[in-house]
Amino acid sequence: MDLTISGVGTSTGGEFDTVDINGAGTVNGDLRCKSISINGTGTIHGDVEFSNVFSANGAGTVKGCVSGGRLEVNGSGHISRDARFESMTVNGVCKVVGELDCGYAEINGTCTAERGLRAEECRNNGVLTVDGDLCAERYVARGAFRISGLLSADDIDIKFVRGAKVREIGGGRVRIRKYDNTGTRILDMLADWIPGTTKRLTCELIEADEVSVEDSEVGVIRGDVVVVGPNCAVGRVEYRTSLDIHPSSKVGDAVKTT
Amino acid sequence: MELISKKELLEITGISYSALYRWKRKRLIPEEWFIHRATYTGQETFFPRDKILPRIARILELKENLTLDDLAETFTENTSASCADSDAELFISPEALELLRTAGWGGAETIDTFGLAQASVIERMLESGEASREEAVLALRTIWKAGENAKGASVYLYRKLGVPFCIVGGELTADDGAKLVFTVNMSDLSHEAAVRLKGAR
Repeated sequence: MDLTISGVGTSTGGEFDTVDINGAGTVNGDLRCKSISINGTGTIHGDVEFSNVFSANGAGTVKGCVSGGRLEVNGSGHISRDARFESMTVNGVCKVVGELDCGYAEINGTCTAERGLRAEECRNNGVLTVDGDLCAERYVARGAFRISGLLSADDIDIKFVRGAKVREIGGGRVRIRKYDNTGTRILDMLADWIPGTTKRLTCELIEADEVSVEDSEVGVIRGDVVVVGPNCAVGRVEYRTSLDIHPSSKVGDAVKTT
Repeated sequence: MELISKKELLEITGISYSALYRWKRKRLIPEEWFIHRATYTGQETFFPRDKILPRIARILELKENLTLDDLAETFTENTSASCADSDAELFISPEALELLRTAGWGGAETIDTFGLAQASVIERMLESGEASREEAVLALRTIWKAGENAKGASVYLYRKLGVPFCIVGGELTADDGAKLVFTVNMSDLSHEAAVRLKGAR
């Protein structure tokens, strides 16, 4: 059985095959379905459990938890509690007020996770804000991000857009570069007039087996093989195997440990 | 509580940063064990020495046989691992099993990790040679009486003036006249039971 709300409508929750909210729809209660699509404005006052796809093409709000297969946010999606997906693609704006737990996450638009983000693989091509930790096996960034806690992943491949900030980084391989193309260079020139954003990535601590950074300000780097590339300012480096410092960079203390 | 620094830990165990962070992500090492303190070089991380070293040794021992997710489960009290009641003899020695059955242990269709952990208490007590069969059954009945409180607790068998008594609880101190005959921690036994039920043996 399907649920379709067209125009302005309200429904109670329940169990359905497909849920379509077109226009301005409100659902009072929990929803269980195969697929759900919100075109227009849809608000669900309850939890949503879906097995296939949840697409938010307009403005979708869930005042509870969401769990299911694939989430697609093309418009805006707001989830008031915890969210758990097999995969998610954010092309628009998405905000999760609880914990976000996802197999594969692709962010092309803007995504905010207010209680941490957990994923197998996270690809950030847009703007990602995490309050708490970001834990993944792989984190690939080609965009902007602010992580208030720890970025922990086996493979970290960052090309950042200005203003990128993360409190701590820990993992296997860490590569940090500036995202350098025409678009970002224009952004850089304009953003020089915006206070509070620096051209470099800022981070208090990086601990990993292999660390390679450029255009970054880091408090302490600890690793086996450490490469401090151009335009960096590092307070202290503790390395086990090797350390390379680019002449344009400043390193306060460099200590070889066993 | 004696602490060991992260630096010293990596040095002693020989594990890499990637391993430590991976095991933390997979919840093989609880978040609470990461203790942040300020030192002269800045913020440093410390661990409870008596907890972290055995845990890392155990992870290194078992990680070839179990997935990290399965392994993480075995360190919690809530694992789904179980076996059929009829398979009990694969996990428990015949002497212990005979005593357990007589006391009324098992009888449901499946044995879960807590059930197998209880059986391990009896096995260990009999093997140690310190406790009698009656005292082993006394311990088993006390664990049953404790119910959910037994999970994560320790089992103590004391003897005072020749009379045995059993307590299931946390940290204990008894008077000098009481002799501690046998003690074991249910969390350790639950972990081992989960490992065996998940097939690592």
